[in-house]
Amino acid sequence: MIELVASAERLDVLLADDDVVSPDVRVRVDRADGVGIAAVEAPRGTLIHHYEADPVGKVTKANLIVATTHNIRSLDASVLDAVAGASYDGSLPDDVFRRMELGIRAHDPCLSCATHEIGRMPLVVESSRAEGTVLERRGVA
Amino acid sequence: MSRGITDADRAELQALTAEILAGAVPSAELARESTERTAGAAPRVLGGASELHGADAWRRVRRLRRRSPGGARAARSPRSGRSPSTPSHIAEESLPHSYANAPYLTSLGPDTGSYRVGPLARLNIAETMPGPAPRSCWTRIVRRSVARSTPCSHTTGLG
Repeated sequence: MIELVASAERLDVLLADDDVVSPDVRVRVDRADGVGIAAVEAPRGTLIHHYEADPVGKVTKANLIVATTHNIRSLDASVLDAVAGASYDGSLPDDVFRRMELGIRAHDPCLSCATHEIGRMPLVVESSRAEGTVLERRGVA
Repeated sequence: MSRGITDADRAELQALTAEILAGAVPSAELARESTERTAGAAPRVLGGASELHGADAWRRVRRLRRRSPGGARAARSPRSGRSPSTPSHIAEESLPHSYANAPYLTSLGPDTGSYRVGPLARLNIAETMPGPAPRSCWTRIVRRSVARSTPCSHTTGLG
């Protein structure tokens, strides 16, 4: 919300600049080899593109680190925090299941799709023994 | 193919901007009230072990962000353009249970180098905000935490 206010104010300033209606909107790019890395702050977070190209300009290597990827470790840790130390008596407690969902949602991953209602996010949690026997499976796929 | 903005487009966007701004300021105020009301009451979903590492990483990144090696702010994410320093700050590790790679801060290593990106992370790393309205919101919600040298981890309604 804070960024929305800042962005709207910025938009007003940019629109007041006559350059915004300039027909010059395209930059010609020559074919060349090389490495290009760029980062931009997308709405969800930092987006990094990394490309390598051969002498005819063909991309030989491409790597994207998108916002959800940056947050993977923190997201995993939040879900683990929700489960760590929780009691288990044959069924996963509701509050633990809920906290796992909150931990995921707090990171705004593209995969959760924020349009799903709280409690109806596609999330399946499987409880199993260390050797692999599944004890319980709950959630909405 | 990119298309330019015409004068008619500009007029339409200017009207929309005024509408967005009229809605955004009270919405930010509502978000602030909600955050203050629920802070501490709901479970801290960004808390626990990850937060310890997160706070440590945050302090390091803030220091990095202020530092100017070779006259350039290396760790600062540029708005656009090349950032040759990025690969040296971030490395990626494959996860056995996922198709996704897990990036980490190379200065901290894979075990403790997790970090977060997104609007909250940006507000935590910011030193100020442009314009009086966003600056006022930011000061009341985020700056108090920043002054205590811990990142603000309140997500609206989630504690």
